[in-house]
Formats: sequence, structure tokens, C-alpha cells
Amino acid sequence: MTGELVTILDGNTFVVCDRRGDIEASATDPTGLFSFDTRFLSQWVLTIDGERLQALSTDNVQYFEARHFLVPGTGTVYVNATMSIIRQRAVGDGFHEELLILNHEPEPVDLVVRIDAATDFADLFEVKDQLEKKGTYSNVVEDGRLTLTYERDTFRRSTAITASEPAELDENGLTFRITIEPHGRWTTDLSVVTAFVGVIGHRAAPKYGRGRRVARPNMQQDLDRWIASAPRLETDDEALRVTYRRSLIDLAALRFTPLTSRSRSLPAAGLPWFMTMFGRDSIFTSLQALAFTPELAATTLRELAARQGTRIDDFRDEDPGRILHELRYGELTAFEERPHSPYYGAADATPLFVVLLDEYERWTGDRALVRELEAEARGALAWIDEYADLQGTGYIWYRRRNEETGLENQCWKDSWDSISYHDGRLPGFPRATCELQGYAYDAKVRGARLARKFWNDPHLADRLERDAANLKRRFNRDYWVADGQYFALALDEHGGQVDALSSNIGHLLWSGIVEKSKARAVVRHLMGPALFSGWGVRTLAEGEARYNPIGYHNGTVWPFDNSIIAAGLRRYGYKEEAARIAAGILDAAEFFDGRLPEAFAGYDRALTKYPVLYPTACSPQAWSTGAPLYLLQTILGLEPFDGHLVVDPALPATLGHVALLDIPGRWGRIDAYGRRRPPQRRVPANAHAPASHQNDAGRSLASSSRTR
Amino acid sequence: MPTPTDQFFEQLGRRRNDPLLRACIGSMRFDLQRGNRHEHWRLDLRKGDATAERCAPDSDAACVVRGDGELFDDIVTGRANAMAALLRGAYSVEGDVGLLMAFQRLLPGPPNQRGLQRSGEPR
Repeated sequence: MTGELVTILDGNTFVVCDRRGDIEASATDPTGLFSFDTRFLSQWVLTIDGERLQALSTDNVQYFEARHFLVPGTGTVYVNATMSIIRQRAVGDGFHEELLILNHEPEPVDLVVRIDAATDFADLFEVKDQLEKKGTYSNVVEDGRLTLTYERDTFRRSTAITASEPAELDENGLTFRITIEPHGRWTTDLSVVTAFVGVIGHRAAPKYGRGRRVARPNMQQDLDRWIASAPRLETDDEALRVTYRRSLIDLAALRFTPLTSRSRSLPAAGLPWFMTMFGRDSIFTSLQALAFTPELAATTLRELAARQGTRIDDFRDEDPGRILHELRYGELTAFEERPHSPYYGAADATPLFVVLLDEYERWTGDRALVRELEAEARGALAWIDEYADLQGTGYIWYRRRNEETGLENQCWKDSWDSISYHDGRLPGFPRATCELQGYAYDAKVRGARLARKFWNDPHLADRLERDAANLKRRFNRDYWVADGQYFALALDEHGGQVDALSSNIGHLLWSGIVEKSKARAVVRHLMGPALFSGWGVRTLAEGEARYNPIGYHNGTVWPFDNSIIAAGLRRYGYKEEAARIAAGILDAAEFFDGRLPEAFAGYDRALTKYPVLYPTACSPQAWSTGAPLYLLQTILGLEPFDGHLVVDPALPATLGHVALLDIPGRWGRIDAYGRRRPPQRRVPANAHAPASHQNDAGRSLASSSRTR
Repeated sequence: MPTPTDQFFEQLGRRRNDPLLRACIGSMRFDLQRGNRHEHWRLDLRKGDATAERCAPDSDAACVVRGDGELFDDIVTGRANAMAALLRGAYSVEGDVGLLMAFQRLLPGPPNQRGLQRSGEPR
């Protein structure tokens, strides 16, 4: 079974199937019904009279439901359409499937309808590797229900299957022997319910069903509300409109609701293999979406804070104050074969937590949350100094303590070979990648503001400001590669420079750690041919020994990375360069129907004319989804300042006008307009341009501040 | 002979106020089984202070945890991870799961950890 896979999801539960609606898991096709990192169905195959079906059309219009239109027979040129089959499936606590068979003949037809059902209860970590399981399986037919169970010690998971029409249930599935009248129809509801025995309360039915049809429209209503509540985009660029809408919908689909969040959501990292809380990804996505859906940031902050490290645990790479990397709920985590309950092996999530908290308050004015999370934010700041500085040199270093299943590289470029010297050698451990120091600087500066303004602690504020200034000075001295005029990717375990030229220098601009005198050189590299492909900045520059245009972190272009870089360029006043990056990424989006992938190849734009997709299993991915939002914020020059929203547009050449209406924030709702005027028609310096319309030479406060 | 669980609950009252628990107000009941004996503890979380005492089996609590006493000895000494054990079904929780999350903040880490490695070397 090859070909396109279809995915539907609801929070942490999702179904991956083929275009026929069948689930038939294999190493190459990791299909299934998954919930909380366990596969609850690995086989769900429909046959009629022993024959597989053929998909005419698949309708995956909404992220939570899909419809498959099928006819009998496979792979033949002629379609003998005496019968149609429609499968409509909605996911939620399992899934509900409406199976409808239509007889187009003038005679009645007898059919044997069979669904083969099975599951391996694989942990998500096992799915690709197909590891051997240690528990026992049982399949039981009782009271009109087929229950598949997996048991290992006290760990029990089960899948319960029922049908609304009379069926013969056996241990491997269901059989319906039916007769359909001439031009008649037959339909049944199929319910598949997942159960975490002993952990979550018993559920009798999936979330949505024909009899409870009202529930599925609720998801539609919820999505409509979500979109209506987000800012409205007006632009002359149709592709940008498509991309923006796609981003909003994907962001809705990627919402993850942990049990402790009282039904509030934060962004999961990506579908389908990263549908959980990730410190780094959830924080970055929340930052990207602050001007659009700020409530994601609030939930991200709360849920990460609730799980902040409080002790030393080598297996989990946990330290007091550390923000988690990843949280998993499956069997391998439960039996501590993996450290993910949660795993803390990220060196950036902790300072970024403080960055998000401060930025969130600047946008929303929600000082209550800043006060609520004061202890956690202080803990995060303390972690930087007390636990991250492995060499005692005043930098954030990382080195995993879990050497079996922990992450070697604890920065965003977490593949094994992503941190290299110019000549291709790999440094030892620990490592101090440059962007971590930028985040630490930013966290200290912002922490000082929080301490002064909300925690009533001027002493802490003064100390943090001194530390930040100190760090900036040392960093600009220690990381600066003088002959190349750029910042080293990292310091190695001897304190020497890991001198590859990389996209990480864009994060340095974003953080503010770059001394002004060095900014121009950095920008020149970012926009130069070695890094800038025409679509975006490559993760590693051409000319570096490990450069590979299809190397995961060694030459591909990442939309999220570029959204940070563009913001960094703007921060230092390089508006036109920021706009060029935005244009490249947004142009690329058009080739993906508005859904930017995790990464695309680093080939020169002039060479390929279209962005070449890097093959990863994840789509959509949260921080790719957030990238267009952050880029919009950047090209409109949106910046909260002193309780107002400043608008300072600098649009790419390809956009005529862009307006974001009803931007939420401490001001209520506000509109921001940007228009690109031809260069010769400059507004005279003393003219009063209306506050709501500014050319790319002007700054203004956003117009029409009205509360909703 | 006091069990590790006894010692853990008894020393709670002597701990400093914990700012990480400042927002937490609620009660938990622990129903623990040792062989054919049952013991019940009630833990009160009050804005950073935590106190615990033996209680009646039906004592009111917003969150009830039920499990094996020996497992709890491991949890309160850091030898078992509370979250992993929960996922494993080794004990059950009913009611406000947020209180269980807060409770985990009181638990020590595993013994004999390498922890902070200055100069990149293990301690």
C-alpha cells in the first residue's frame, strides 16, 4: 500500500490511513489510530465479497474528519460502478465511522462486508522500528463488542469495537451479511473507542457519532470561532491569503490539550509524530502567533511551568529550573525505557520560556500571569547560571547525562552532525552553540524588566542587567570569527571556536546580543549567496565542509528559522533585507498550497525555479505553520510599545498592500495597514499622512483602536 | 519502624514555604496498601506550605491516589518516577490531576545522580 496518506486529528488522537480509508500498518506505511503515543489500531481493512476497494475521491476538507468515496475492484482501467461505498470518519477518543453502501443495480444484491481489525499497541517510539513487545495480547468478543487488549504488568490499553447493525464479531474483525434492495442503501455506524485502563475514566463511545451528531458540528463551530477570532488579513496577494488561512487552520489542528490544562490548548510540534508538548517548538510557535492567537502562549507558559524541573535526574537530563524538551505518554515512557515523563534534554527552552513570558506580557498586558509564574521564571533564570554553565565560563553549555536514550545535541539543530567546524570535523562535548547565548542574553534583559516592573525586585533587575551587559561583551569577543566577520556556530569543549558559518547568526540578531558594529557584517553573510538561496537562509552555508542542500540541518532551508532571522534583521533596522526573506519564504509557500513544510532543499532558487521539498514525515509542523504569521508581523513592523501597537511597514516588492485587522492585545483590537508605494512618490516630511496609512518610510501608531 | 512514606509525610511540615507551590490550594488523600494493611494520609497544600497526617479512609479530598505502599516508598525517595508509574498504571488517581502535578514538586530526585558537571566531566 503506497500512495498518499490521509490524516485526521483531534488534539492528541489521530488516524493515519490510505485514500481508501484503510489502515494497514507496515514499516513503510506507518498508518493507524493513535492516541497519547500508543497505536490502538494497526489494521482496519474493508473488503466486500473478499475484494479490496478502490478510492475514487477522498475528501479531507476538515482536519478532524474525512470522507472516502469508493467502488469495488482495484487497479483496473474499467470501473464497474454497480455499487458505491462511502466511508465517513470523525476522530475523537477513537473514531466513529459511517459506512454507507449504495446498490445501483435494478436487482437486489447479497454482500459479505468484512472489516479486518487488529492492533499491535505499538508505542510511537516503536512504530518505525517495529520493536518486539513485552506484554500480552487478548482479543475478546462479548456483548456485541470486540475488545482488543494489551497488558504488561499494570499497564493496560484496549480498543473496543462495536457496530450499530447486526454483525458477526470474531477475534479478528466484523462480518456483515447483507442484502441491499434494488437502488437501495445500507448503512452502519462503526465505533472504535480507545481506553487507558486505570489512567483515564471509562468511555463508552467515541466523541462523535451519528446519534450524537451535535458533537461534530461543535468541532466545526469551534474552528469557525477560532478563525473568526483571529485577525483578518486583507491583501492584493491571493497566495498570501491562502497561506494565512492555511496557517490558522493548521494551528487549530495542532492544538494539544494536556489533562491538566482545564481544556485549554497549546501547540503540539507537528503531525503526526510530534503531537505532544515540546518546550522549544511550543514556545517558538506561541511567539510566532502572539499577534494572532495569544491564548496559545498563555497555556504554553502555564503547562511548561507546571512541569518545570525541580530535581537532579540524569536519566531525564533534569535540573531544577529547567524547562522540558518533550513529554510522552506511551508504554516505553511508562516503563522508563525512554526518559520522556518528561525529558528535559533541551538547552534553549529554559531561557526561551522567560523570553515568551515577557513578550506575552508586552502584547497582552496580562500581568497576572507574570506574577503567577514568578517563581518559575526566577527558577529558569537561575538555571542559566547555576546548571547550564558546565564549563564555568558564563555560557550555556549542553552535554547529555543520559547516554543511552538522551539527545546528544540539545539545540534546535538536534541531528548528530549539525554542529561542525568549517572543515567538517565534529567537536566533542560539552558544546555551547551561539544562539543559546543570545537567548540567555535576551532572557536576562527581559527578566530584568519583569523583576523591576512586576516582581518588585530592583536588586535582581540590576544584577540581570549587569549580567546581560557582561555576557554581551564576552560573547562578542569569544564567538566572533575575526577573519570571516561572523559569529562561530559554537564553542567546543576547549573553549575554541566551532567556526562554521550558519543560520544561527540570524537568531543572534533576533536576541539583541550582537554589538551594533558587527551587525552589518552579519547581515551581509545572511543575505549573501553562501547562505541565502533565494528562497531563504540555509541552515549551513555553501562552502562549509558539511554543507549539503538536502542535509537535514546542514543546508536545507527552514521556514521557522527564517521567520526568526527576518525578525532579527528588522530588530537591527535592516527592513529591506527582512522583507526579502519574507518574500522568499512566502513565495515558497505558494508552491505548497499555503502549507510550508518543515524544511525544503537548499538548492539555489535560480537553479530549480521551485522549492524542492525535503522529505520528512511531519506535516503540518507547528513552527512552519507559525512562520507566515511571524513574517506578517515583521513586514508590518508590528511592535508593542508603551501600551500601544506601533506599525512600521516595510513590504516586500511583491506585495502591494497588506492589512491585518482586529489584532488582539492590551489595546483591545487594532488594525494595521501597510502599503508599498513606488519609490518616487515619497510623502513630504511635513505632511500629515493619515495614521492608518503609512508608506514604507513612515512609522505610526496603529489606527482605530477599538475594543471588541 | 517508620517507612520512607512515614518519614516523607512527617517531614513535610518542617519544609520551608515553596514558592513553586504558592498558587496551590487543595487536599489530596493517599490510600496505600501494605500487604493486608491499609494506611491513609491526607496532604494539605496551602500556598506553598504542605502538611500531611494520617486520616480516615473516607476523608474528603479533591484528589485521591491509590496504590501500593512499597511503590510509594520508592516514589518518595526518588527511586521511582511518579509520572512514569502513573502511566504504567502502577497507581491510580481520581479527581484533580493538577494537585498530583503539584505534589510531584515535593518529591526528591533519584539518589546518586551525577548532576552538574563542571568542566564537562562527571562528578
